Amino acid sequence: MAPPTSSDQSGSARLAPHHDPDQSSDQSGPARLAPSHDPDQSVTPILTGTPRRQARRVASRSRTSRAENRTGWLFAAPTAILLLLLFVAPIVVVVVMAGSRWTLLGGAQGNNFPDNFTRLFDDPLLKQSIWFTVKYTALTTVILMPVALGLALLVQEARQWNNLLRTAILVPSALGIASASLLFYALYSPQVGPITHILEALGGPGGQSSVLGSPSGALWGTVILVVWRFAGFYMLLNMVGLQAIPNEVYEAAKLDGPGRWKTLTSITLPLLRPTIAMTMILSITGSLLAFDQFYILTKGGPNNSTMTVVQLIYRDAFETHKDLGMAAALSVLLLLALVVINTLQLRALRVGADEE
Amino acid sequence: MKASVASRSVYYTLTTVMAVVFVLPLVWAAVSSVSPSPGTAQKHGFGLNNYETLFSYGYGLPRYLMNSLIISIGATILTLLLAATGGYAFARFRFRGKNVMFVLVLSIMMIPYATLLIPLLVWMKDLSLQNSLFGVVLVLTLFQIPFGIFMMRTSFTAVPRDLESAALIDGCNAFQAFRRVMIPAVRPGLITVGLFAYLAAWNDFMVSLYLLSMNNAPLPLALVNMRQQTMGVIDYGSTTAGVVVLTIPAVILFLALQRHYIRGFTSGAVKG
Repeated sequence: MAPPTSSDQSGSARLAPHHDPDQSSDQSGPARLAPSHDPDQSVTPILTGTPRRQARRVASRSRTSRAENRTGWLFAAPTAILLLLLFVAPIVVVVVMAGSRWTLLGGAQGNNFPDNFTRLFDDPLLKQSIWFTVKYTALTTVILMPVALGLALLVQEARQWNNLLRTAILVPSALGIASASLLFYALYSPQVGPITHILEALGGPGGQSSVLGSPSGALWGTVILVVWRFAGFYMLLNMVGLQAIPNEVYEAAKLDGPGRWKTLTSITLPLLRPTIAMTMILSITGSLLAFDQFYILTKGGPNNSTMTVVQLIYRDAFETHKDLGMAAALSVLLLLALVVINTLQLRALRVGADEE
Repeated sequence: MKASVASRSVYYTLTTVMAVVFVLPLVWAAVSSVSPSPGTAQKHGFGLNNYETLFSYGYGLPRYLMNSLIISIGATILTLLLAATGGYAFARFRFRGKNVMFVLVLSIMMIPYATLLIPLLVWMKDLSLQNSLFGVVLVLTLFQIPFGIFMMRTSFTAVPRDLESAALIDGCNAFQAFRRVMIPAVRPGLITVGLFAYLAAWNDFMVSLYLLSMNNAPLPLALVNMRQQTMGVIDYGSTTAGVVVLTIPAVILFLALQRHYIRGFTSGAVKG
C-alpha cells in the first residue's frame, strides 16, 4: 500500500500504517472487501503520480477510496461495535423472547409462539392502557405545543429581562422526569404539599384526599407536571425555528401594516411549520413512551386508570405475570407501532417541507 | 417596541408570574426540605434532619451519589468519544456500509429503549454485565448516539477542509489531525453533546430500574425506592431533600453551560 500524496483529498488516510511490508495483513482489513489485484502495490510512492491516480479513480474503486474506506472504518468502528452489541442484538433477542415461554424466574423454556401474543390480547388491560396512552399523548401535545410557542414568542427578543425569563423557564428542563415526578408527588401530597390546600380554598375536595386519588386528578396532575418540565425545552426548539425566519419577511409584510395577530397567523406560523412538526413528533413519541412519571406519581392507579403501555410491559415482567416472554411480545408490538408511527410522521414532515 | 405604559406593565406582570410558576416548585422543595413538618424527621424548627435521614438510608447517600457519578461521567466520556469519532467518519469519509450504519443510527431514534429493556435484561447476563454500572453506561451511551452523531457530523461538516489539509501537510497523520485540529474546532458541539449525555445519565431512572440492584442504584432509583419502603407511610421530608440533592448539580451545570448549550443548539443539528 503506497502512502497517499499530500495533495490527495483523503490524505487523512495516512492513519493507516502505510509502510506496511506485510501485504497479507492488508488483506485482513476492511479494504479486503474490494478485490485487490493491485499492480503497483510494491511501487515506490514517487512513481504513483497524481494523473495516474486520477485515471485509476475513474476506472472504478481506486486505492484512495480503499484507504479512505479503511480510515473511515477506524473512526466509525467504536460506534458500529456498540450498535451491534447493544442495539441489533437486543432486537434479535426480543423477537426470540416474544416467541418463547420465558419466565422471570425460570428463564427460557422453548418456543411457544403465538401463546405470548394471545395471552396479551386476552388481558383487558392492554386495550385500556393503549387507549389511556393515546389520550395522554393527545392531551400533553395539545397543551404543550401552544404553550411552548407562546413562551418562545414572548421571550424571543434579546433583552436582559427576557434572558432572565428564558432561564427561569428552562430551569425545570435540567431535572430528570423521575426527580420532577418525586417533587410533584410531594407537592400534591395532602401532608406536606400546598396544592391540596390551594384546591380546598378554591372549593375542591381537600381534606386528606390527594389530587392523585381520582382518575382525572391523576391524569391532569401528571399532564401539569410534564408541561412544567418540558415547556422550556420545546420553547427553545421554537426559538431556534423563529430565528431561522429572515427579518426581511417581516419588514416586507410591515408595508401592508397587518396587525400582530395577522402577522402571527399568516407569516410566522406557516414559516414555522417544519419546527412545529418536529416538536410535535418529539412530543408524540415521547408521550407514547411515558413511564417514569406514572410509575412514580400514580403507579398506574387509581384502579389501573393511568396505566400506560410501557408500564404494562414492566408490570407483566415483574409484578403480575412475572413473564418476560409476554413482556417481550408487548415490546415487539410497541416497537412495530412506533416504527410505523415515526415513519408516517417523518413522511408527513418531509411532504410538508417540500411544499414550502 | 413602542408600547404604551399600560401594555408594558401588563407584559411585565404576566411574564413575572410565568417565571415564578416555573421556579417556585424548586424553591418550595428547598424550603420544605428544611422546614418542620409532622411525619418527617424534621419535627420542630428548621434544620437538616431530613438530610440526615437521607444520608443514612440503605447503602448510604455517598454510595448512591457515587453510583450516579460513575454512571454520568462514564456515559459522558463514552458518548463524547463515540459521537466525535462517529460524527467525523460520517462527515468526512466514504466507507462501505456507511448507509446501513446511518439507517441504524436513525432507527435508534425510532426504537427507543423502553422497548428494548426486556431483552437487554436477558442479554446483559450473556455479556456478563448483569447489575453492572458499566452495562448501564453502555445502554445510556447508545441512546445518546443519534443526537451525538448528528450534532457532531453537522459540526465537523462546518469546519473547512483546508484546516485538515494544512495539518496533514505539516506532517500530522489522520488521527493527529483529528485530535489536534478538528476536535478544538468543534468544541461548542462537543459541550452540547456532553451536557446532554451527562444530564440524561444523571437523571436516568428507567434503565437503572431494569438493570441494577439496590447496591448499584444511582440516586433517582434509590429515592423512589426509599419512598416506597416504609409500608404506607411515606417520608416526604427525605424525599424532598433527595430531590434537592439530585437537582442542585444538574441545575448548576445547566446554568453554567447555558450559553454554550443554546449556541450549540442554534448552530444547526436541530434546524431540520
